[in-house]
Amino acid sequence: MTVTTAPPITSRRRASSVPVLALAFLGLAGVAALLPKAVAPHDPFAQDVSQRLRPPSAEHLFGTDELGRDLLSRVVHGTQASLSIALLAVAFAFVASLVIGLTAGYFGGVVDRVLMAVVDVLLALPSLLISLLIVSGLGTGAVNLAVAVGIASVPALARVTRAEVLGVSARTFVEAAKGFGLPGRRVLLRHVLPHARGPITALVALELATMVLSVSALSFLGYGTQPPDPEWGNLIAGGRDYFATAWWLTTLPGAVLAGVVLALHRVGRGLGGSEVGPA
Amino acid sequence: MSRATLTRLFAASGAAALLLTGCTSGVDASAGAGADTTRLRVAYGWYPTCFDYGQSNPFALFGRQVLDTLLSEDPETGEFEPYLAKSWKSLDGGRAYEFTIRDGVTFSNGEKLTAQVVADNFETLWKLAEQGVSPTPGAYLRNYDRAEALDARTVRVSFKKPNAGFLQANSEGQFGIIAPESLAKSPKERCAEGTIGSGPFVLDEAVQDERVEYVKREGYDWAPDAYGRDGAASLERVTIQIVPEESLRAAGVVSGEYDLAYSMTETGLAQAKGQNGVKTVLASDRSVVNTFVVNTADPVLADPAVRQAIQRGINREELVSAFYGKGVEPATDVVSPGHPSYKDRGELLGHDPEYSASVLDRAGWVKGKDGIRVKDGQQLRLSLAFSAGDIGSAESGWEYVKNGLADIGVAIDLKRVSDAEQADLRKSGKWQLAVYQGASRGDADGIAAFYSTRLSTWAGQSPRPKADGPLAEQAATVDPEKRHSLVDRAVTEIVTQAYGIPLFDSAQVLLARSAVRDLTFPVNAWEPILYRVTKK
Repeated sequence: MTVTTAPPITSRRRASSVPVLALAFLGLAGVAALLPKAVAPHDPFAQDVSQRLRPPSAEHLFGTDELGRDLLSRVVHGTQASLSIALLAVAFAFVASLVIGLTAGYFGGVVDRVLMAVVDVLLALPSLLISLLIVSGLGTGAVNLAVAVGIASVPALARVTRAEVLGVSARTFVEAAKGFGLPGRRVLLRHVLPHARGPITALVALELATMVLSVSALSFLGYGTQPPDPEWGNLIAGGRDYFATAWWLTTLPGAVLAGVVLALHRVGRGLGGSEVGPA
Repeated sequence: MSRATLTRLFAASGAAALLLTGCTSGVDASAGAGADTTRLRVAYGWYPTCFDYGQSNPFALFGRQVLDTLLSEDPETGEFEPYLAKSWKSLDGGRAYEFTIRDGVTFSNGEKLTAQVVADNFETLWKLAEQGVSPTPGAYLRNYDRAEALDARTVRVSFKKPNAGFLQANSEGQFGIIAPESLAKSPKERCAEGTIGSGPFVLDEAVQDERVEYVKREGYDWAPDAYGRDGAASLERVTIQIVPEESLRAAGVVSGEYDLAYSMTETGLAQAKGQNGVKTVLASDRSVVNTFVVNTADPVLADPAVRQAIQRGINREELVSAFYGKGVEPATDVVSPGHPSYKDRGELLGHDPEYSASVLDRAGWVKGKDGIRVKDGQQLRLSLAFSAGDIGSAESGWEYVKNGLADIGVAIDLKRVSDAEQADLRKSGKWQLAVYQGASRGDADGIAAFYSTRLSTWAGQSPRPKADGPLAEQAATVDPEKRHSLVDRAVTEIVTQAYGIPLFDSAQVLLARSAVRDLTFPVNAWEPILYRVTKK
C-alpha cells in the first residue's frame, strides 16, 4: 500500500465519501445474498425460450440469457453463492493462519522453522495454482472451492500473524505474564492474541476482496457451482459464446463482480487505516 | 492505492489491451485467408485424438482428405460410382464381393495400390474389429470370412452369411485404403502417426490442440468422375485450425481470418447475420440422428413407461429452432429423412407432456412434494452425460431439455464429461442417459450398429429380442424389399419401446466466405470433399 502524504483535510473528505458508496453497494449485495428471493424480480431458473437473448429492458433490467432466464435474477441469486463461498474461505483462512502464525511466532525454534518452511514453499507458488491443484483433487463444489481458495491465502496471512506475534511476544507485559508463571496457552490467548489481532483483521478484510475474485475465477473455469445454479464466475463464463451478439451476458455480471471487489477493497482499506494507525 | 497509482494502472491495462488487439489484427493481415486463393483455412472445434480414421469416428474431416475409398456414393440417388475400384460385382447372394482395382494409383509414400494391398486392408480392419478397437467398421464387416487377391487387380471379400450393406460401407471414409507401410504398424502407432493414403492431400504438420496442415498431393489423378475434376486438388494447402469456441470460429469467418467454420448453431449464425462476404452451407446427413442413448439395464430406465415419457416430454421443434441452425430438423424417426430406411414416425416422437404424465401415472410414478415423481421410494432422477465435443451449444440445449422434463416430473442431472470419461462410462455400463452424436451411415446397418444390443458399443443394454432379431436378419438379406420390412419391424419396436430417444438430425451447418466455391459432401456431413473446393 502506498502511504498517503496528502494534507489531512483532503484525506478526510475522500475517506468519508468513497466508503459510503462502497458500503451502500456492499449492503445491497449483502441483502441480495441474504434474501435473494425478495430482491430478484423473477425466478432465476424459469426458462422462456421465446424471450431468449433479449437485451436489457424495463422488464429484464439485465436482459435475458440463452434460455430466456432473467439475468438480473440470476446475478442476485449468484451473489449468495459467490459471497458465501468467499466468506467461508476467509473464515477458513483466518482460523488456519491464526493457529499457524501464533504457534510459530510464540513457540519459535524448530516448530517455527518447520512451519515457516512449509509456508515459504507455498508462498513461492501462485495462489490460483494452489487453489486449482486442490480443487482438482477434491472435486468441484461450493465447500471444496472454499477450502481450496482459503488454503491458498493461508501462507501470506500466517506470515503476517507470525510477525505480529513475534513483536508482541517481545513486549514487557508478555514477559511479565510469563514471569508470573501463567500457562503458555493463557499467555497466548489472553495477552498475545488480542494485541496481534488488529492488523490481521484488516488484512483479512482486504483478502476477502481477493477471495471473491478467486472464487469467481475458479468458478469461471468450471470448478465451482455447477450450472444451472448461478454463480458470478459461471454466469460470466456462460455468456462468453454470446459475447459478439449479447454483450450483457458477460458484461453485467462482470461489472457487478468488479463493483463488489472494489467496494470490499475500499472498505477493507478503511478498516486497516483505523486499526493499524494507533498500534 | 493512490489516485495516481490507479490512473497508471488503467493506462497500463489500456495499453496492454491495445497491444494485444494490435497483435492479433497484425497476424490477420499477414496470414489473411482472403488474399491467398490457394490456401483454405478451416476452423474446427476439436483436435483429433487419433489420426487413424479406421479407429476413430471423429477423424472424419481430416481422414477424408488423405484417403480414397473403393467406391463413391451419389448422395442424391444412393448410386455407387467407381473410385479406386473400376468395377465390382456381388456374388453368391451377397456372400462375396469382387472389386477390380484401378491401375496406376500410388500412395503418397510411393507404394503402389494392388489387389493384395486392398485385401490386407480388409484383414487389418477385421482384426481391429475383433480387438474391439474399431466399433464402426466392425459393424460393417459383420459375418466377415476373408479377403484375398485373385490376381494383381482383382480382390474378393467373402462373408459367412450375406452382408447386404457392404458395398455402401466401401464409400465411407473409414474404409479408406491405406498404404502397406501403415498396415505394417500397430493400431497404436497408426493412431499416433496417422495413416498414409492415396488421397488428394498429404499431412504436412500437426501441432497438438492448435492446427493440422495438409498440402496437395502432386500427381493425384484418380478422383471419381462425379467430382467433375481431374488431376490434383485446386488448393495448394489446407489448414485446419482448432478453435473450440463457436463464437470465435464464427468471428474468424466474419473477419476473413478463416474461410470455413464447422459446427455452427444459432449462436454463431447470429454473429454472421447481415455480414457481407459470408454464407451458410448446410451439409445434410443421412444417418442415425442425434440421440439420447438409454441404459435399459438401469433399474429406473428398465421401466418402458419412463423411457416413453421422456420420448414425448421433449419439445424437439423448440429445441432445434432455439439452439440449432436453420436446416437442422427435429427427429421424426431414428434416422434422418433421405436415409433409405427412413419412415415418418413423427406422431410417436411429437411433444406431448400430457401423454407422458399419464404414462407415468399409470406406471405408478407419483409426483412428490418437490415435483419429482417417486415410485417405491425411488426418485425419478436420471443423469445425462454429455461431452463438450458433442454438438455445438450442447449445454444450453440440454438445460432446455432438463427444464421440459422437469415439467413432467422427471429430474435430470446434467453431467459434463471429457471424451475419455465418456468412453469409460460407455464401457463400464455405469451411465443412465448419454448424448450420442449421430453417426453417418446411409445404410440400414447403421441402425443395427447403434440399436442392436449385440453390436452396440454402449455397455448396459439388456437384450431386446424383438429388435435384435430382425436387425441381425436384415444384414444378411439382400432382397431390398424384404430387408426394408425387417428394418421397419425392428425400428417400430425401437420407437414404441423408446430404446433410444431420437432428438434431431445431425446435419451440419457451416459458415463460409462467399469466395469458397464447390464445397460438397458425400453422404457424411463430416467428410467435406475439399479436393474440389476453389477460392475465387
